[in-house]
Formats: sequence, structure tokens, C-alpha cells
Amino acid sequence: MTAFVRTTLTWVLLAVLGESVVAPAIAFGNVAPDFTVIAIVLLAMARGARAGAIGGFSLGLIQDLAVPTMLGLHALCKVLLGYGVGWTRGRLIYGLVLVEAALLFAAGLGHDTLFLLVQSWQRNDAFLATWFSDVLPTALYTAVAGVPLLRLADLFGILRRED
Amino acid sequence: MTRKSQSAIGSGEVVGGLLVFVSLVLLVLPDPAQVQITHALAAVLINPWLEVRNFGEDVLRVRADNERLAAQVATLELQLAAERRRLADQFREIGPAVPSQFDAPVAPCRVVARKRARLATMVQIRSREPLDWRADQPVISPRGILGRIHTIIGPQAAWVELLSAPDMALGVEFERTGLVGVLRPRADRFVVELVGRDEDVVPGDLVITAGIAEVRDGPDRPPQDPVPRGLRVGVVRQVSAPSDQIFKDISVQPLADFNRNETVFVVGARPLAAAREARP
Repeated sequence: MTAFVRTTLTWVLLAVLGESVVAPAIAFGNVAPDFTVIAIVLLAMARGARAGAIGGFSLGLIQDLAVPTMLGLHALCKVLLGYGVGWTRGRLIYGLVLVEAALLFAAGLGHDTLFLLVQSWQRNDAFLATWFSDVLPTALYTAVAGVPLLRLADLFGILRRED
Repeated sequence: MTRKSQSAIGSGEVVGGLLVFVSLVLLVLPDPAQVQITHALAAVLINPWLEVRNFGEDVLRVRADNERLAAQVATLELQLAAERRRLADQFREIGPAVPSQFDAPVAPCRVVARKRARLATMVQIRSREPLDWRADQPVISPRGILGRIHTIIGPQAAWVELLSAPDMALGVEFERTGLVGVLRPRADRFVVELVGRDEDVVPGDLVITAGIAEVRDGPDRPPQDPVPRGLRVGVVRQVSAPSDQIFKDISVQPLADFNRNETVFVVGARPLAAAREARP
């Protein structure tokens, strides 16, 4: 199996199964890990900024289909996420749990904060209450749940510093 | 190697920039265009998968649902018979009956696209037959009110805005006392606002729609038909009266499940053919 197929299968399955099956099962109230963010981080760390941006756009566009009046917002946030994480590829110290946790936390926080900022601006809604009650704990939970998955991906040789 | 790595970085930037541009274009499109594009893309990208999954889930649930519904029908028939007897007895004493409180048509629809992301607050529904429906008509699940029609895609498809949408506000009433208030989502909970601190509200009180005009921000979508009175909304979970406020702080647990719905009902929507016949 080529590295490309293996990586694609991994991040797509992680995103789809994680969001539809695992996340609802391990949620604490409204807070559950964002497996789409973990999948994009994994893809970007495995294949770089270009693949991260394309994968992020595809996944974001599918998510956007659930919010007709916000078409493009998930795609935008995830393109930036995929490109941003891909840009750090090769610049990070690989194999350190703390580094990966920090990367996942920053990715989740940045993605959700941008999303919420635009959504709050468009819908004229409060920002801070949702940020503290949803975005911050979700980013933490995403980091906690994502580190073992990144470690597993590294063990199977999916994460690579360069092509 | 340097030239190769520079080229790779360059192509990544180009692709990233292009995708950001496409995303921004989609984002700034007017709402009707976004809805049409979403509908077209969803028909190809996610609806086939959702159809298969919904069918599988339906098959698994249909036996239990049938048993439950049969029991409910039997109970309702018994209650109806008893009520008729009671009214008949009463008419002999006091005269004509009170008119029916609720006579709006209810149209069943299937949820074909559900929330796929956190912070998203809409579902798409599809009717088996063409409907004469309007924006803002309430949508209920078997448990309670779910939201209301946000955008009509066509006679058989529409987007529903859930009660959990940030700008949603709904006039509600406490069934036990008849007190009215305004239900709003607040971060991870629902609250009923504008209920005085000395009013009688206790945990467990059933909250229903009040049938009064709703509150809605924005001049582009003025209030239309109010939600009928009596639709079940939720149950009071927690009540407090902070000493520095003139209103109670009331948390409500909604009865409807916003994440898992298969069949929902649009209140007030009637089949298009019947509506055309009814028009003069």
C-alpha cells in the first residue's frame, strides 16, 4: 500500500468515524474532541501544507453543507488550519508528546476561534460565552484525544518530516 | 534539492491561496445563492450516504417505534372516548362545547441532512409530497418543538433552524401557572428570560409554546406567523433568583433531541394540491 493511500485512508476514516461514532460516545455534555481537526493535523503533518490545505478544504466544504448560510466558513478555517500545520512540518521536534499536544491545542483553538469570530460577526451573537464554554474545553479535549492518535500514526510510519 | 523544496513550498502557497479565495467567495455569496449551491453539492456529496444510513437506522428502529405508537394510539383512543363521554355529559348541563384549541395541519418530513459540525444549528428536511409551507413555520419532533423553517429550497425540501441557533427566541409559557417568558439558547443551555423573581416556577415545570409573537433580531426577517400555543418545549431544570436581578434565572432542558431525528413534523404546512384546491 503506498504512503499516499495509507495516509488518505487514515485521515478520512479518522474524520468520518471520529465525528460520527467516537465523538458522541465520549462527549462530556457539549464538549467532545474535534476529530476533523485531528484528521487535518495528521494529514498536514504527514503530507505537508499543500495536502493539508486541499484536505482541509474538502472536509470543510462537506461540513459546510450542513450550514447553508455559512457556506465556505468551515472550508476557509480548515484550509488555513491545514496549511498552517503543514507549514510547521519539519520545523517541529517530532516524537514529543508535549509538542504534539500543544500543536493540537493551538490548531483546535485557532480553528474554532476563527470560526466563532466570523459566525458571531455574521449573526451578531455573543462571542466570549461560547468561546469559554465550548471552544476552550473542546480544544483541550481535542489535544488530549489527538495525541495518542498521532503517536499511533507515527508508529505506523504515517507521519513524515519531509517527502 | 533547494530548487525542489522551493518549488514545493511555492505550489503549496498557490494551492492554499486559491482555496482560501474560493472559500471567501463562497462565504460572501448572498444567502439564496449559498442555499442553492449547498443543495446541489449535498445532493452529490452527502445525500446518498445519508439516505443509506438513515434507511438502516430506520429499519432498526421501526419495530420498537411501531410497538410504542400502537400503545400510544390505543391509549389516545381510550382517552378520546372518555373525553367524549365527559363532554356529552357536560353538554346536557351547560350547552355548547369549547372550540378545538389546535386545528393546524401537521406534515411529516424526513431529516436528510443533519448537523455535521459543532456550532452548526440547521437540519435539512424533505417531504414525501410537495407542501405549501412558509418560512418560520414550527417544526416538531415526537417529543417536542425542534425549531422552525428557515429557508425553503423547494416544495419538498427546506432548511430548519434549530432552537439551539444563537439568535433564536421563542415565546413560551409555563403550563402549570400560565406565566409567559422568552426562551433563548445561552452557550450550552437554554434559559427562559423575563420571568419576575417573585413568580412561581419550580424545577419540573413543563414549558410549552405561548402562541404569542416571537422576538427576532434583524430587520430583514420580521416576525411572521407566531408558533401555535401548546407545543411542548422542555422541562425546567434549575431555577434561581439572584439577589441583584429582577428576573429569575431559569434553565430549561429541551424535550426534543437536536442531534438524532428521523421523522419530524411541520406544523401548519399542508399538501400543495390541497392548498391549491382550498384557494378561491
